[in-house]
Amino acid sequence: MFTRSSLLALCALVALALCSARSLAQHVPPRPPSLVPLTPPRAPDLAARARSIADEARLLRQFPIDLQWGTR
Amino acid sequence: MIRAPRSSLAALAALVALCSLAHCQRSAEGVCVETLCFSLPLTTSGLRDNGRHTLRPDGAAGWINVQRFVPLERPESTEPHALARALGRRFALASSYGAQGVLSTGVATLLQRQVATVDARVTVGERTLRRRLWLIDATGDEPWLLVDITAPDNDFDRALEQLGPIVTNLTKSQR
Repeated sequence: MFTRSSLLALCALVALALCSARSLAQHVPPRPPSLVPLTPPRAPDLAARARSIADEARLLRQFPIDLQWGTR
Repeated sequence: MIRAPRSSLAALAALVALCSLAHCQRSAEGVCVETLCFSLPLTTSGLRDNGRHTLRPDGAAGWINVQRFVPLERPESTEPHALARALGRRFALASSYGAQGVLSTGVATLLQRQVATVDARVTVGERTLRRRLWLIDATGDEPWLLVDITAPDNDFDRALEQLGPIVTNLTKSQR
């Protein structure tokens, strides 16, 4: 027959086991930080720069003038 | 026969020498450079370099520049407003020797036709100049002419008052 003290100890053990199980069940591993989709670094607008250089070259061909003339 | 006094002959010789030095042609119309004749006084000094001229009338607040050039590529449009905008952009490009601020672009009458104009402020070193340009375009392979009045920024209005009518009333010489 179980003594009262052993029954109490058994109950305590069962309670402890139940608490541990519940605690484990509730434990959720931390979520990894959500990954923000990376946008590729903005590439320099080479096409626009090329257009600008072409425009400048065209203006120099259209107006081959010396704008420094007469400023001194 | 009436003999000219020696002083008159000396004055004539001095005038011829001055014209020779200035590389300009004086005619009944005034001072002519690159086929353009300006009603400028005889006391105008000149400077020339390969199709570029500067005419400085004595006592004027500013001076007149003339440049002859042939475009290596014709602009897309020779409509005066479009030409003025293009010349303004060309002017804004020349920043290697100082700030070039285009103040306005427009159209004016020169030689009985509409031509492009640009008003700009030019900074060269510590000097700030103002400039009004007139662009006389041509067809085919003929040279184009750029005429401007330039003066110190603070004296530009006076220069424009003195020289503006001379530019707007310029005539074409026959040569």
